[in-house]
Amino acid sequence: MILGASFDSPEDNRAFQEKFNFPFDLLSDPEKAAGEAYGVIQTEKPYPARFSFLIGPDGHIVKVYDTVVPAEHPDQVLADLG
Amino acid sequence: MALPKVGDLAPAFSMRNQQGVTTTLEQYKGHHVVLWWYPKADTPG
Repeated sequence: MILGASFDSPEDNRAFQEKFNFPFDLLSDPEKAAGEAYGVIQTEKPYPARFSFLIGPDGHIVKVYDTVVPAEHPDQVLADLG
Repeated sequence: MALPKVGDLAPAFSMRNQQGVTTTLEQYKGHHVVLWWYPKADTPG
């Protein structure tokens, strides 16, 4: 399961999703509560830092990805899932 | 706040999806989840 998340509104995310036909949900964190909990707030920028978190079935963090090179990201995650 | 580390309990969250439906991490217990933070809707990458 993949969940995208940003500080955008559900309306903006809906337009984004419809444009690119993402087969997963985009979550909205306008209050930045989850962003704070996940440490992705950037003081100098109004949007979250590019990180992904692989969370295991038991709810623990399995891996943290710095996703500065987005194109390589899916392959990396799939490799980690083995 | 610092990034959660490998082995940490993933912080619980409750966020609305693009349809306005509330989604929580708890709903996905028993499954792998990738939480992908992206900068802004409709920016490259």
